[in-house]
Amino acid sequence: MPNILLTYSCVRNCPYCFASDEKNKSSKPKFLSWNNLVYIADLCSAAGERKIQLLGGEPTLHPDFLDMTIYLLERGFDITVFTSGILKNKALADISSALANTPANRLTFNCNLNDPEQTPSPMAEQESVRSFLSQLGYRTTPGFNIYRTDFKLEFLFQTISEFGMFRMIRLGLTHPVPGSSNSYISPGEIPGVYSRLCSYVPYMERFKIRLRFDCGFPYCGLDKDQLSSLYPIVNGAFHFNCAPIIDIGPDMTVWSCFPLRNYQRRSIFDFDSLDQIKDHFRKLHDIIRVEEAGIYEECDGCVWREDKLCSGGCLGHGVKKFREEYPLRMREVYP
Amino acid sequence: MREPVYVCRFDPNVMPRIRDKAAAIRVDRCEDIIEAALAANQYNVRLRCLLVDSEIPLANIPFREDWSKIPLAVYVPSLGRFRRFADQIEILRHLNIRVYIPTSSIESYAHLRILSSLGINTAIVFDDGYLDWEELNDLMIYSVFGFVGHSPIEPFAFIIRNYKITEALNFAGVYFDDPATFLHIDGNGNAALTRRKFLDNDVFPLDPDNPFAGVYTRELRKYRAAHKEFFLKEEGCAYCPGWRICLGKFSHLKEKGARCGEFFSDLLDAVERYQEIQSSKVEQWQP
Repeated sequence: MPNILLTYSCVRNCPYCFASDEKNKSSKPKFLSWNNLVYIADLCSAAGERKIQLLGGEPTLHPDFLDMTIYLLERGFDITVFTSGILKNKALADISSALANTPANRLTFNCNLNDPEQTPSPMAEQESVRSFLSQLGYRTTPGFNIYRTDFKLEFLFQTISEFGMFRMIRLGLTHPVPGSSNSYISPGEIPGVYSRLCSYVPYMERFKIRLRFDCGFPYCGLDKDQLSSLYPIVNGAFHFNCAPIIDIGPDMTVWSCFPLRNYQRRSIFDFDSLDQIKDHFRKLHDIIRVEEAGIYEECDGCVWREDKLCSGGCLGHGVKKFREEYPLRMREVYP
Repeated sequence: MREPVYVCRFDPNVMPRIRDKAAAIRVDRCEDIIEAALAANQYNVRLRCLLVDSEIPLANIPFREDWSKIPLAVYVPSLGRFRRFADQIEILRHLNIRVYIPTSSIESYAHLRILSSLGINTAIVFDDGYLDWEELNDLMIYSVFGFVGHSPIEPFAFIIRNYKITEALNFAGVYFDDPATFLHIDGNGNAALTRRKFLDNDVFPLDPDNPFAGVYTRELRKYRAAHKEFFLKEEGCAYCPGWRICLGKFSHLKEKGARCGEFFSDLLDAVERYQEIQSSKVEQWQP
């Protein structure tokens, strides 16, 4: 399921943002063009992909966001839009009315929500998010990115109930973007994150809310008790993976995933198919893993990793290390 | 000689002249489509298509399911807002239609590609005022080698289908403007070989019941010999390899530095490559 970035522009300045430096690069095309969208749709179609995720920046800032979404739906793709929920009233009204009859399983939103206390934002933005959720909450999954160990989830439970959102939180762990200065959770902080997460299990059981782990969570940070308490909350589907997602930028560059955004980026036109792109980045992941098995020393030779139960955390940590140390590793791992 | 296909306006004076003949009938408004089709039926016209000259964008045309049996060539200025057009896609897919869009803006190239990717037949109308040869080249590559099934974009599909190295091929037929096939007539007994000549009133008298008796044969012969003029000068199109496809249609732009030669040479390469791929395919035996 590739991610298509309609634009790098965004209205927010989240401290953990994976794409913060991208927003300020003026030399790159600001918005994905129609011709390129058709090209990407063809590429996905030829690969048998039926799902596409639209991202940014803030994808709804693209002047043709609504038209492009409808086009992709017409092409038969199911769409998930990752948004901040901060939209102008006119844009929100247009989207709500134009997509009202689209089945909820074909078009969903993932609204990245920040705790208003820990990541404060202007009142106007908060109001805008509330407007978005009041109109499109019924087809929206809340997303939350953990970038500090004292994170709070209470506001999410309230928001989910208030706006009738999907009772599933997409939980992201923030990772370093080599070459960028975003806030992120270091490997040493991960056990603390798990402890805090588990403290919310009774609430999630009470509110019947489930969790879906995004990529880069390591298996070994969880003890057996934590695993068993989280098991029903994730519907038994733990993901401790790190694999190429394939992000496609508005300038038609492709990269493995957001944390590796600045690392060995290529033009989409270097490849003939989506499978080729995936293979390329899969091989790149494998090469990096040879040099840096995972985020912990113990990842090297770890039985869970060998059994493919866990990938060893996000590769962003390894690549960050490569950039900062004296270059003594395989030539291929350096940008 | 083969009897021409008559191109005319939907006009009560013209209809009797094309009785029992092949014709493409031009209407100005979509509202006239059913009436024109019924009239063609009444006069036993072998209707090639109805040409609709629409001034409104494609998205704003209220397409109807009962047009499904009528071959339509709809000329529109642009696609319009996609979100509005989306409501029409399902109906359009069931119509026997080709949408003609002029290259009058940079968006037109994207509009053509969007329509084609959604399974709607399209044609490029070359607008001398705005022709971006690079965009055209991209569209041509998409049309010929696009890796996912899509509807044909004319005139590329026509050229790909019909080009033979030993024969001249005039893609003006896509626009009802190839004098070897089409003849433009009015209700006053006049005819012209091309639309341009017809609009400029460069006409000659013609009796559709006996077309080859008058000036038509001579005009046609003159037209067929006209290509030789391109080779009398040692400049312009004389040495252009792409001429085999364009037949000098853009010679007036070439003088202004247009990159038509490169484009048509690339198109020629694409045709040859396409035909090479087709000929290398082994036809599976059938029981």
